[in-house]
Amino acid sequence: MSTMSLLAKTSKVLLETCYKNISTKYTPLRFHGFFNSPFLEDVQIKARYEVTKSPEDWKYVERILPPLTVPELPQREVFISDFKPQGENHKHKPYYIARTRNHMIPVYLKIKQRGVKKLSYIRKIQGDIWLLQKELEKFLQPMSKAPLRMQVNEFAGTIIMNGDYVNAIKHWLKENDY
Amino acid sequence: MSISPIFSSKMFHRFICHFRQALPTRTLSSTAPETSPVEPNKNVIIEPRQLKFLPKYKEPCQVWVENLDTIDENKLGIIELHPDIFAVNPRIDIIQQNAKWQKLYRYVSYAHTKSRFEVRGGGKKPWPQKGLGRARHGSIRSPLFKGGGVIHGPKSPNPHFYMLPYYVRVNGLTSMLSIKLAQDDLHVVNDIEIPSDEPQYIKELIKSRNWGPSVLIIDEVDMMPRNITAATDEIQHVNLMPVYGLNVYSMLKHDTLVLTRAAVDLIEDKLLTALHRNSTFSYTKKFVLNQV
Repeated sequence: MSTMSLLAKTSKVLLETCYKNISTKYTPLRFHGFFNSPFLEDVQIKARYEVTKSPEDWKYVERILPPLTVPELPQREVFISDFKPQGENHKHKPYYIARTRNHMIPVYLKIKQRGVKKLSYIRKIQGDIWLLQKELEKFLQPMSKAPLRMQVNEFAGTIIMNGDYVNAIKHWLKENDY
Repeated sequence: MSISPIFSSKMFHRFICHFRQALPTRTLSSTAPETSPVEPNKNVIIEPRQLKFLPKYKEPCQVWVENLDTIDENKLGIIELHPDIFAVNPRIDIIQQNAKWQKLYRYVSYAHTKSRFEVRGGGKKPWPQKGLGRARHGSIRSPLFKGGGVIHGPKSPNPHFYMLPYYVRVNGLTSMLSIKLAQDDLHVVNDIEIPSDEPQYIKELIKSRNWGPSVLIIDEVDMMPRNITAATDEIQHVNLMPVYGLNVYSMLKHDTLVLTRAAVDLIEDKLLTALHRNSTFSYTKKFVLNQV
């Protein structure tokens, strides 16, 4: 048998198997995964619909679509919740805490050891992190009998605190316009 | 006035800026003394770029746009780069995580040992339990014996695949790009068209511009111009890569990173979208194998 005819035969077999696979309807398979899942088919829509191409209508479609990136904060005097946007004029302050991409204060609570260990995290700190630590300590120390334990990571710009002080820190930061 | 092909001439006249002799240093508290305006150098143009998501208190960083079509460096203008991509805190810990991950996810260990039950023989009790004055043993393939099995030895194949969290990968790229820029190892070129397809041309160009021996050239698309592909084909330490292949390991491995103007735009756009993504669920959820 010549190579050409062999090629033609194999390609025919390949085509047939492909068509066979395409025509199979989706049925739930046991232990199914990537390799034995059926090929994707075009969905047959039986409902009647009209195709329009008008930028006027597309405006309403775009309104429904979720934005790809987080939108900018709306300019409001007062927000309904207790959300407070970051204040201005932090340029000449010794340290700065940036908001997250969702415009929130980057302070978090991490619970470890099944609720035994509670850690408060402050992230995104720029500038003099040691001064921030001192000021925080001054504010938070009256809440605790034991001396506060703080871990300052200057390189990563984070402070980790032993104990749940998240709301207190957020309150303090909001007071200071961060 | 020399006009480069990448900027439109209208923008040129509008944005002729005073050339500051040194690139301005960025500090949180601006204590740098005000320099008196030097006489404007009209050949240097700061190209206007719309930087999205500009942070409040960081200024964009400036880089020269160079050319590749002559061996000697020809500065075509200055562009501004986004500080959240090219001037972030150089987190070498994150870079280490990325480099380690890139080495490991494709590594499969083929080290293999046999246990006492896989080694051939050893079914018979070597000598009676009692009466010989020797230690009691049940098999000559016991791990105590020479030529016996291995306890908890390596088994083949052992894949070391794992997935690094999405934002560790994103921050790895931004940290690495920032380090390259800070160490003066990042260069922006207008395009990668060169006049000759000789490897000697690229070698001389790298030597005259004091780029490191190894150079990684990044373009927007993966179909590069013929001359540069032919010229760099033989040189093993000069490599071309499309933007979608940009990774921490390659940037670490090469001394100099050369980005085209279009690549800068694309990298910035992709990383900024990643950093400000609205819905991160599908990116930060647990990695699943065999996903269609």
